Amino acid sequence: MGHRKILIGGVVMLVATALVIPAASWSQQAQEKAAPSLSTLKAKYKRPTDIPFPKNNAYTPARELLGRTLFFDPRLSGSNIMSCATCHNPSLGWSDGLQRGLGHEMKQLGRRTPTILNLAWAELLFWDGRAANLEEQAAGPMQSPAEMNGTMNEIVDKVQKTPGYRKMFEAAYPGEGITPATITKAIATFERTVVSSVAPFDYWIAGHEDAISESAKRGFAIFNGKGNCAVCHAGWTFTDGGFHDIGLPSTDIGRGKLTPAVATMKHAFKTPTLRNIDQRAPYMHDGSHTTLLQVVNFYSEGGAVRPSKSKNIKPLNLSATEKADLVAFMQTLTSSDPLPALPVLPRQ
Amino acid sequence: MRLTTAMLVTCALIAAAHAALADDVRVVQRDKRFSTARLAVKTGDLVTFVNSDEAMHNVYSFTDGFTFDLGGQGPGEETTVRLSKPGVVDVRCAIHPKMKLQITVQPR
Repeated sequence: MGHRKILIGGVVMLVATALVIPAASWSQQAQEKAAPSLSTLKAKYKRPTDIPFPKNNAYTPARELLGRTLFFDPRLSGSNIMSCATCHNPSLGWSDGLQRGLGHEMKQLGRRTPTILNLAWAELLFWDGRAANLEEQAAGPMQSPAEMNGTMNEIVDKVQKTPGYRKMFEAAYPGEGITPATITKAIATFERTVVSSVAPFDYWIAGHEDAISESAKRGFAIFNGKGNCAVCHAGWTFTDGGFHDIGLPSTDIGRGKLTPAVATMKHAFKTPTLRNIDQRAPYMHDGSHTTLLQVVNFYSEGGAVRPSKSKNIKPLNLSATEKADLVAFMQTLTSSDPLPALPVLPRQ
Repeated sequence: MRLTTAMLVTCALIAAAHAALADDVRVVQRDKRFSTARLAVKTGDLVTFVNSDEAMHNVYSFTDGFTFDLGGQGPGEETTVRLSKPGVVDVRCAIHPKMKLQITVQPR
């Protein structure tokens, strides 16, 4: 695993032969642990100083530039009018602001477009985790008939016929050529550089008490305590990268379609990051909630009762003030991220 | 008849001896990690997973010949699997994909 210092706005961040035995009850000790101190909680949210890159696709500026160029190039679609950035629009929090994404010929897709923010730290991509890594994920929408409706042969052919791209690929992946692998590796490299900047919450974590409001501080306590939000929205990215059935009514069984043998995965979807969350309405995998307060109301009520629902999701009975505090806290996670420079696309 | 009874008694004694020899190896889940990434056990051993997190876990394996799903495991709960033949078993948490454990089951 290689690493690159996080550069944000030019500043380096310092900041079955197996026999299953039925489950047994365990000691209550684990549930009776003393609540962690505020400083212990804050330490769990400290930002990393480096972006991790895989050994087989280490970071270079040439790879980032190539990936950014491909990301914004609509010729990667069958229609030549839809790029990755059409749905993952940096001006809309790297999503599209729609309840559910629009694919080929403007047909509505089944799920909301997830952001690509902070995916360098993610494992298993898409709402249902069907891609093992970012390289594999990048190949998906391009070739999906419902989304960009391209074929890899056509995409490689179009890119190969573009002299400017030939030079860029040689600079990024010397001797490897223009292939499905180098196309997706370049896009994945660019995506790994899309990292949320320092937000008011981070300044508070770093010791600036006035960086967030008293309401937001109370919201942080609820987030880690009564609300139990942090059990899934964990760490500085505010996601555990995991899959949970939160009890959202839906016919879409999510990860359950990929892992039917695991009962808890029915209706399970990947935990989204909460970084810059107030810029990415609507919410949930189906875009069914339009405001953060609606989301908090949903969790306060506890969701639908069904066998697959996570044991971590229970009615919270939050007061109106507690709900407002939670929303105030989540709003402190929004940073002023510099937009990427739009690339000049090489022409044939 | 007498021979059959003797054989059954012998088999029961062997099974009992085998069970007596089997160990119960405990793996703790804390901070969304298994307490070890690799584990070696003997055929017939039990492996017990102890959830010391506040998060729910779900231990499973899709390794051919060893598939199992221990189901949703709440905070403080433990689940157990007996591994009854030699082989290498890849164990995961269905909820937290970064939790990975490889168990090598050696002949007793």
